[in-house]
Amino acid sequence: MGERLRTVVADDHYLVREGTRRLLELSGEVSVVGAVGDADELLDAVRRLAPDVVVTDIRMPGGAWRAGFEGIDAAHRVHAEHPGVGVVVLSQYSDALFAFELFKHGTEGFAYLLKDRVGDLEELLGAIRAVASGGSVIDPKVVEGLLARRAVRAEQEELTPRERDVLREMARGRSNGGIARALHLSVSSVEKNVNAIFTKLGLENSGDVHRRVAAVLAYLGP
Amino acid sequence: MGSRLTAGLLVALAAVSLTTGALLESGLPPPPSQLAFILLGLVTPALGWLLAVRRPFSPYGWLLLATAVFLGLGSLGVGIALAAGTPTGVPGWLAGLFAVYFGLNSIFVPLLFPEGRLPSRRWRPVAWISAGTISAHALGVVAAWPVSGPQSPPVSMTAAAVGALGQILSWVMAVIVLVGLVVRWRRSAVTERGQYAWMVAGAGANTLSFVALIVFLMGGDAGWGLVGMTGTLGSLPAAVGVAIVRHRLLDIRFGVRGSRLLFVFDVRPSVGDVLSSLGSAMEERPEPAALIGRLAASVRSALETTWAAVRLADGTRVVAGVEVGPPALVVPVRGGLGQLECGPRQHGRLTADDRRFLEALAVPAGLAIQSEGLAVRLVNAQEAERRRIERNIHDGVQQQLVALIAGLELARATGGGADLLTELREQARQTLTDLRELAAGIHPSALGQGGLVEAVEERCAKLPVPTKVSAGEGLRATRFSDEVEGAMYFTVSEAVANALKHAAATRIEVRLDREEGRLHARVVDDGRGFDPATTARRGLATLADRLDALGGGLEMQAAPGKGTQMTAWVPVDG
Repeated sequence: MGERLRTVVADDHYLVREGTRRLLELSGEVSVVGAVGDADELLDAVRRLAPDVVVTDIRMPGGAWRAGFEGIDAAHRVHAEHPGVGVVVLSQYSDALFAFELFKHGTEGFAYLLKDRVGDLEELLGAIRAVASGGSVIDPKVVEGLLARRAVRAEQEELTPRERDVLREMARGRSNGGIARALHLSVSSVEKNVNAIFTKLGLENSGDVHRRVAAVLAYLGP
Repeated sequence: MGSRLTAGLLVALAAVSLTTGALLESGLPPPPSQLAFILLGLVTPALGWLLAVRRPFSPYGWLLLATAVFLGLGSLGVGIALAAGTPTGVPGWLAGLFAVYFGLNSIFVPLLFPEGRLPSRRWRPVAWISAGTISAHALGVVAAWPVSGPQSPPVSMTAAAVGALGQILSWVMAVIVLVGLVVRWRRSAVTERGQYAWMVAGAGANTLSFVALIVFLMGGDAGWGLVGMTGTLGSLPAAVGVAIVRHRLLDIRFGVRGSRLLFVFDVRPSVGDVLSSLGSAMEERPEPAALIGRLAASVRSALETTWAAVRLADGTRVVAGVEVGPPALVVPVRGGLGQLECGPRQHGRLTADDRRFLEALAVPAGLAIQSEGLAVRLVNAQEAERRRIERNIHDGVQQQLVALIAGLELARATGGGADLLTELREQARQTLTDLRELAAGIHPSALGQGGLVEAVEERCAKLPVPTKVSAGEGLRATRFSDEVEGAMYFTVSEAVANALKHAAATRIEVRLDREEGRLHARVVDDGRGFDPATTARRGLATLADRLDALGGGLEMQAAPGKGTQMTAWVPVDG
């Protein structure tokens, strides 16, 4: 493993901030170079510390930000000022509305994870790795909610349970190989499922994992 | 005596005396000219009866009826005089009443058109002088010919002169009224022109007929008499009739449906009709904007205006119809909550009756708007409260649980350790405490279990300043409905919170009482107080709405430096 990813953690809740910091440090993959309590401090820290990744809470009251959207707006600002910096937004809302707000200008380098992923270090680290390399991740639970909503509309051919599993993994930013490992399938089986999904959803297939997330999101979008 | 019966008796008197008089004069069978006289003469009583019955509160119908009665009695008098040759006593008197008929018909019928009221106060002298000239005319005639018909020589030349002068002056007054009518016609809005034009024509024809009649009386041939009599009898009733029918002046119209001629009365619905239709519309619980829209539409259809609008105090305005030009009529809604506005009528003009109608409608309209506003505010307050709770959960307990998860993951990954686990246990306990307080803020368990007094005591026991809670006898053991207990508890809770937060009180007293069917809560503090005129208390305003919805209320007594006293009450049984 190469150099540790330099990360800034932002959360207005002290215990959450410290817990996240300690967990990430513990992984040995990430070095937390700064821990801040609001969006203004976050931008300042990014300017000063030039991290690889930012892990931020979605809601951090204070400052001249849109109330409730401080984390998302700060993420966009970070991306505009420092295009190479990946941002993981941790949210307490499983409502997809907030995810779409984050991805509205593009998915590259952004991850939207539910907050309880702090108890699932691998998932969190996976998202950090993905955004650091320009990829994107949507929390499986959010995807599940979107799929359920999509199903209510009943205008598309339904996905099989297996295909739904694969779609969820695709949204996670995983490659076919990664999906095969996660679901204990053969790579060729995953490829078949992916093709079936793209055909059913009427999407253009793409080998690029990053673009795949955007395609899935575009399909699931409002 | 009911107005219907009165009108019936008057119209019968007018019709019978007119017919009898005419038949006495001509003998049976009557010649066609006499039949025409009777028919023309019956127009005025018919119109008067119609109006008096349909619109008993409008003086105009009664004026026409009175005119008709004088016409009938006068005709009877003349008929008796001519039939008997030399009548004595009462019949001579009766003939004099013809003078009153002429006066009323040619002065007051056009002057008071169309509502039975003077066009303005400036016309008062005209009315009084006319009353004088008509009296002079009538009394002069009666005094000059007390026992005989007008064709015999008068007993008193003076009386005859007074009568003649009165007659001439009456005619002058009629001309003045005609001129006034022409002015009104010229100045009236386009929509009202038509009805005045008919009246001007009627009054003009009447005045000219009068001249013709004079020519005939001065010795002109029978043609003058015929023209004069026909014009006098017919022109004004015809004008009134046309104005009523064509311009729906008095909400009476007739139309032809199929082969049948229909009279349609009460074109205008009553306030009750409008309210009952509005009431059933409100049953459907429309949005507030839809409600005031329906109100505007009701006003418009009731008054048959081109448009109508309801404007609320907050600037909301809903228009029914197409708004053109300034409103013709504006009436404030009860309680200063807004106003009802309407444009000109589609036909005819807005009358004083319309204004009264609108004013009557403004009272229940205000109540409807008021209760609708209250309902909206209560729903909004409920929504705001839900949002507050949602935020509290997201930012408080949920965050604590996330921290706990992070800590547990850390413990799992590192193998834990006594210190870390102790720390996590404390975090879990703190989360539980916070959750309990959050739940108490939503609905305190003491309120459900122990009742109002206990819950208020529990709330006040947590305050950092000395607080005393006292309750009336037996109140501690009494339970009220959930709405009453909830509203009172949260009102007291908000008041003590304000006392601490805004007034920096060092002592608070809470008193709960029940008297005369009311549950009272009084919160008194020794804090800074405030100026009620300049300070908005949003939290308490919401609670005041809640109490209001229960039929109760809230009062604040405060002045800078003098502490604050809040009294809240709701009605309870017994």
